[in-house]
Amino acid sequence: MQLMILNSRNADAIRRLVQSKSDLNAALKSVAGFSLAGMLELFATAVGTADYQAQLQQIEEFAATRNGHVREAWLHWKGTAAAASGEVDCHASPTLEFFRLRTREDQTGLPYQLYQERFVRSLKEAEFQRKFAEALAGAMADMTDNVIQHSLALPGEFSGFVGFHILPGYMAFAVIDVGRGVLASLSRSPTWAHLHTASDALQAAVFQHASSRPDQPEGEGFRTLFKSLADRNCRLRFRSDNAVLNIEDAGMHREAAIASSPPLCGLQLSVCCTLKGRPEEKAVDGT
Amino acid sequence: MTPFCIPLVPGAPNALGATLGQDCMEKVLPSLEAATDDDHTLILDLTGIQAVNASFLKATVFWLFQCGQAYVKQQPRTSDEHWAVRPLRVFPAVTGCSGEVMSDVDDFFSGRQFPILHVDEGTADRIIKGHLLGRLDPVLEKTLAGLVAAGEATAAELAATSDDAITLNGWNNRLADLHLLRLARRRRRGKFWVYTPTTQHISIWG
Repeated sequence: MQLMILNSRNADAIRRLVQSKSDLNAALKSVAGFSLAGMLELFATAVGTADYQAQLQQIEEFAATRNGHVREAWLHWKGTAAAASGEVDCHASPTLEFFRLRTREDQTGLPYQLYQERFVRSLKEAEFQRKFAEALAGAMADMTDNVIQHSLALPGEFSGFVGFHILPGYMAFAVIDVGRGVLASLSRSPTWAHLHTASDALQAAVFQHASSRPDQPEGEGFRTLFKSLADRNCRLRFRSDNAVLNIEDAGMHREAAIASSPPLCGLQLSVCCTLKGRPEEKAVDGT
Repeated sequence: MTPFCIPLVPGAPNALGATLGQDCMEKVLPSLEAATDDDHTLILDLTGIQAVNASFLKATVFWLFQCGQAYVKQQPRTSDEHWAVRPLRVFPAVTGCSGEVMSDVDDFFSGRQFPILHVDEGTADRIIKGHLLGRLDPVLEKTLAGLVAAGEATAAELAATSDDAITLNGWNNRLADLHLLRLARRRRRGKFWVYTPTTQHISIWG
């Protein structure tokens, strides 16, 4: 395999490698760098694999060989990094930061509030207008709220994770969980119980704002996300079970494409946005 | 029947997401569910809040609004889900909104074609002054203004002070709509409903 940047476009290639139980470490050595979405998708794939402990061991070994952001992200998800224990500079405006989501308190507590504030501060320093930055923070908070509200992931070691990556005129955030996925979630609702495929469920959630709450058939999260990104250059990717939905700005309009993907539990989503030009994911780690 | 105000405080500067809203509601839910004999006013205090979003509002004031409407319509609890809509004798309101938060609350309720009272001045047991966010039909707006001016009134009493050429039944419907929209309380006096506005003075925002 040639050296490549692992991003959400080619994440399926790594997913196949992970799930085929081949030598993951060797495969990862062919990766020249990771976008935020690619890196988080790799983690989710490893955790969502049946023999995940072995896969995690390989990722751990791989992460240890890289002193960059892959290792940092890995430590965050494991909960051994400084930020995971609240030891972080509250006034910082980092370009890359992660936050793990395992309990309700992770979503509602002060550490996540401060994380959102750092996200806004970093965006403003990266030339994003305040109102747009706050709207993006609101959208990100709604996406992580979905992990707590709908994923039903066990509050164990690996349930939910969010990260952001910000450069001048560019931002990306990604939210992953390894819970029950969109189809299983919507099956609880009488309004959406007719959906039988992951593809239909994912499209209903994203485009029709389908929610699993029985007396509230429509949710606000994806509506908020799209409202915050209206008229912006952005690329969004959603995947759940064996469905993947890509939405991309194409000049004067947005194009959506639904496809299939090697199955994986939970929901993984990524958003990238540029103030100018075509939105392309940028590498966070290029050793 | 003595209405009392329960403050509802998000406890975080960014009131974002349903989870935070539910945690906020969890603190007052037991007292609300226990109160079956009296009306309650529940005021969401957004003082100092920098940002609020639709998921949070839906889990707090709008959920209360739906529960209040379920009580008026005598609808049973919709399911056994913890946050299922159930009948509650509650009149929701908000207070302390800054400029952008005020706009966000207004947008949320306007989009659903419902009004919500923003409390500008009040005491522990009554709302003295407020203004409406969201949307209220102009006819109901005029009816509410008449009711505020009267202090309290039956449909017949309000009809007697108005030049509008509508039937007594029409006035009854308007007042019942204000009650359903959580802008007027009501109590029985003989065979008539006596309506009282939830606030003593009211204006329309914007």
